[in-house]
Amino acid sequence: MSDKTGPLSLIESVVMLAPLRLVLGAVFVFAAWTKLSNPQDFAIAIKAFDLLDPETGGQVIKLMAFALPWAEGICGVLLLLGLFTRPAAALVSVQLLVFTGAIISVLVRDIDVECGCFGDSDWPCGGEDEEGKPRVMGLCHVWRDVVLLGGALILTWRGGGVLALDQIRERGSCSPARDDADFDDA
Amino acid sequence: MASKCCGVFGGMLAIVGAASLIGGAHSVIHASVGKPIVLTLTDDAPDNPEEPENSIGVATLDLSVPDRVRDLYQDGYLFLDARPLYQYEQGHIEGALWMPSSRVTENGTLFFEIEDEAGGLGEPVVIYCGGGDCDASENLAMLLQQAGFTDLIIFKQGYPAWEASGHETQVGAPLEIEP
Repeated sequence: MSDKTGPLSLIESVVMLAPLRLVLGAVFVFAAWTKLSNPQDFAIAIKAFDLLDPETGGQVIKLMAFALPWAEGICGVLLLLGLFTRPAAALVSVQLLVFTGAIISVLVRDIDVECGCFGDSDWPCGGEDEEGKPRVMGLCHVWRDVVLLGGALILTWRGGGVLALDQIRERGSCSPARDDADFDDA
Repeated sequence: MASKCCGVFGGMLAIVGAASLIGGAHSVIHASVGKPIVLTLTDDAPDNPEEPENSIGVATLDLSVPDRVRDLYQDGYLFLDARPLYQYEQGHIEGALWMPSSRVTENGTLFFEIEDEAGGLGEPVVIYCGGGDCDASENLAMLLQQAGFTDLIIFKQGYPAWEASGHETQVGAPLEIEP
């Protein structure tokens, strides 16, 4: 795979890497938008996870209510552009790991909280159950994060592909191609 | 390989740093325009250790003898139900408005409707949810507090205690919600 401009790389980019980048980027930009449009609700959602004491860790929760969506938004935009794809995808992976851990901890402690992941639209895990009750946090949220995590890990490993702006950036730098080839061959 | 990993790690740190700086600035701007994030009912309250609950006009009432919540109900105070819709439809305090915090944040004009129903920002409003550990009442109280309501009362034991006491209840959808 060291030939980054070959037909195989082009097929890989068109079939897998570009769609992954666009979907994951769009999901994270959307997640950031829903949270930043209502930081009060997101702060309450963080508090409801009961991982930080609002009395002692209140300032941390308040900073997270803004910094976390901004991190999601920056990563999402970078993934959409294919710019600094690997750092962005790696950070998305870390975020998804933290989210998944937090959700599992809520399930283990049997706390009835709303996800707050995408504001009020919690696709595909939201909506109502057979009895008309709104669905709360469940395994669906874990699986959703695991699927997204899979995509993020692939992008961390393979990079943005030949259709990403990283290609232009790397052509303008001194010896990036060698580094990428090393990484791909590893 | 090693330099690439360092590059990835460095890039992650740069994004985290940028997000923290922008997020921090955003939170300061958000608070400076009069919309601070409120997590507890004592946030932004005057320092008054003598009456920490009442210093911001939020009291917590129990359904005990004498039945103070019932007294407020009979005095015609506005009652707000902060529970999910399906719970409201299964039964609520007669005349209470369905008003979960998510609904209020979606539609800011509801603040004006609550103000009209209560008779003013300074008039008492009683908020309840499902009792026990439910924090829906507090979440709604925080939003109303931000909107300028000054006399909020949380009925901590909530609907189960009210229903168990045999007080006035009714079932069905809110009037403003289509069936």
